Amino acid sequence: MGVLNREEDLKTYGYNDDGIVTDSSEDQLKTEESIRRAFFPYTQESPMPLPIARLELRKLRHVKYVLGVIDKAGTHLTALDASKPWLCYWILHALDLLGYRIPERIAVRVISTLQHIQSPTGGFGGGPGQQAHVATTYAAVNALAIIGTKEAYDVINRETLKDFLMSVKQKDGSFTMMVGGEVDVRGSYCALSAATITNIVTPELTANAAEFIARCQTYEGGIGGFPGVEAHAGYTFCGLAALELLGRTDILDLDTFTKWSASRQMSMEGGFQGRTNKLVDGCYAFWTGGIFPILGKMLETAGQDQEVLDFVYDRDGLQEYLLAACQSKTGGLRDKPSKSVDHYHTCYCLSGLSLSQHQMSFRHELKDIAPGGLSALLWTENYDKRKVVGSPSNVLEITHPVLNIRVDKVRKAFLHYYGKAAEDVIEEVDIEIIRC
Amino acid sequence: MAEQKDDVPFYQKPEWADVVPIPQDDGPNPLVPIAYTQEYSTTMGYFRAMCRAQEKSERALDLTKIVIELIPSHFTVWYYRQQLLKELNKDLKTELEWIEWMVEEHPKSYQIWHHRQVIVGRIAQSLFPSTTTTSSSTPSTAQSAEAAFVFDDLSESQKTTVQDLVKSELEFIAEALKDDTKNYHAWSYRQWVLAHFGQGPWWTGELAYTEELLEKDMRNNSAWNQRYFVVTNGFGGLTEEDVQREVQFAKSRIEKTPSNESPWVYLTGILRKGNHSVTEIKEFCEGLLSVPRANFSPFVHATLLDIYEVEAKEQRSAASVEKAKEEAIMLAEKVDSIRSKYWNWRKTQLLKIDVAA
Repeated sequence: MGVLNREEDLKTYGYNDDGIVTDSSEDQLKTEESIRRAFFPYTQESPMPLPIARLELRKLRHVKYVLGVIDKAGTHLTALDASKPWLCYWILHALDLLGYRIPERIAVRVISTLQHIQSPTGGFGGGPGQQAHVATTYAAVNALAIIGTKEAYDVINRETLKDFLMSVKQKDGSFTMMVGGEVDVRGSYCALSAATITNIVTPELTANAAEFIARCQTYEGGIGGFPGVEAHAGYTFCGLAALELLGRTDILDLDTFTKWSASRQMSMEGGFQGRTNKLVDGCYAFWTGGIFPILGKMLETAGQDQEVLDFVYDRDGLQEYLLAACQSKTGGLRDKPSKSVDHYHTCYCLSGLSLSQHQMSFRHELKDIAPGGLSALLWTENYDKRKVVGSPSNVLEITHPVLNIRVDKVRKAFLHYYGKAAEDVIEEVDIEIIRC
Repeated sequence: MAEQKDDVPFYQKPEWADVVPIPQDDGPNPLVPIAYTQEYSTTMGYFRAMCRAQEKSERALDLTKIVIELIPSHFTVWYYRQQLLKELNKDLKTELEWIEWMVEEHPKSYQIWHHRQVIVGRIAQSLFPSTTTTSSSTPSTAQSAEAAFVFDDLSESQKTTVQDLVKSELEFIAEALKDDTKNYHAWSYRQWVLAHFGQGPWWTGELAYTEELLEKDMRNNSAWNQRYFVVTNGFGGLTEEDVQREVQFAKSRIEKTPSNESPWVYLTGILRKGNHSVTEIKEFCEGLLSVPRANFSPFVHATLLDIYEVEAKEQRSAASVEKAKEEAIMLAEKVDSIRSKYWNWRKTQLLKIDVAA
């Protein structure tokens, strides 16, 4: 399948406005036009179509782009002065996926930088001296797990982290983003992800958490930021991943959820949108694309055969969109051709690409030996189902479908925080892999 | 910056002479050191000094505004400002005017919209302290679906006060939605306003508002979602009369734009919520097949697949399964090939139906 090499002219797959023009259809058609231009060299409409195998992920340029800010960031990044841990995470995770070995001299700086951002009352703020926030705490924990050394793990004060997470936990099961902050589903995911990695999950922390997320599932089937609010892929991933960490994905209405998720792939573009009747964006390769591995697990639990499913979306189409439309010639990845690159989009376009290349599946047969947070260790690649569009060198490192750091970094962190219990599970998983 | 009356930066003024700014402690050789402007680093130095001392003063309040205007995503500053407004017992109406201006500049800031909610929540609480049901509500639980009052229990004059406040909030949000009809923060806050003040007459107006927006752009899914929110949460929930009216409403939009996903999801969503079977719109969908541009809409076929699947499960006949299967094939191969995996999976589900001999 895919979107570049289809029977009919690309335009045939574009949006049908039924002869009635509105703002939404106008934006959509304009976007399609710019994407068609990016696709053109590879399509049948071109006088000399390039083979899809020529689609290349320009890894070196992306590494260069990502590294470009680590020693000196331009004044325009002042806007991210309260998002420093995010910058660290986006940079490190992108490098990690690209297979760039993070050198010791950078690791030392990450550790020191985040040490200064940790709040004395627990959790991480947006920068030194700032109040702790659940999202920046998530990013900081992930960034330190990517560094993956004892010095990095030791930065995190687990006792105060627990206090901080409990201080934002609400009776109805939701989390505020900070003390006095807004409630939304991002809080649930960020809090539970950080707590799972560092092994500080308690019944108090998880009480009613699944019920709150279930209330955020809308009539469309996806999940909104708060009960009643429109279904949105960013919140849907967060809600779903949080439910997976809670072991409670069964609480969702599966039929509408599956349909809504599958409906987010754009017919002509191949990439994903985040909401109904909105535009494609490269970052949804992760937020929407990230739904599918967990959804695959849910469908398997409900008795479906993963063979038939193969992720329920068109993997070629998504990868073609990312490779042909989201790469900047000078490095970095972007939302769509009309937008400029940034570290956020680079991180999430690559995360989505990795998830699309490596089909991750859950080792149901081992779930009894991996209770609670340990079940995160049961995600392994279904190697037969690997699919790398374009040049074989496009293959990225494997990211964890729930925690979004490399699978090997998840293992390492769990060995540190869960000790022997994690070791036993990993051993069993590896035996299973060899046995199959 | 409306506050500054002259060109002298605040820190050169005598009232700041006693404050020693605190430099940012990044540690040695931080990752991603940002090239701050001089103005930014100096201002933040003073902010850190205020914050560390937790000074509760007018100058601290003025400073939070300066910092926020430099970096509206700085959540620590907002929280500090919220505490200052309370401690100094400031006029919250003035605060609302400033937020209005800030929203225009930064319509997608989580912090600004949340601040609005905190402030309006406080105003609501202060209106008639004895009647509030959530008097213990702290800022951290301010975003609650729970209403602040039982509207019907209020006196006539109290009702007017509440109605005026809600009206001005809804107008303010409508203004922001004019620039971006799908602004997620604006919609989120709008739902909070509607619910926070209980079951008042504004719910009726809200239905008309969604209709007005859908008149302009019937593909505005945020407006459809809002409509669903209104009919299922307002007026004591979804009645049979609502279902009938909304089904008609969605159908009439589908007839105009059959390839528009929003009214389709709305239609099936309302039916499900009202405990109606999707088979009730069978005739409607089949009718669309004879409309030239509608018969290629994936949503017509997707809904027919849902309908035929339900029928096949009831009838358990080979013919009924076949009928549903044809729709799945049509979707996978012709009208919605990007989702062929999904439709093929739906097809395999049909094969599991136990056909009676």
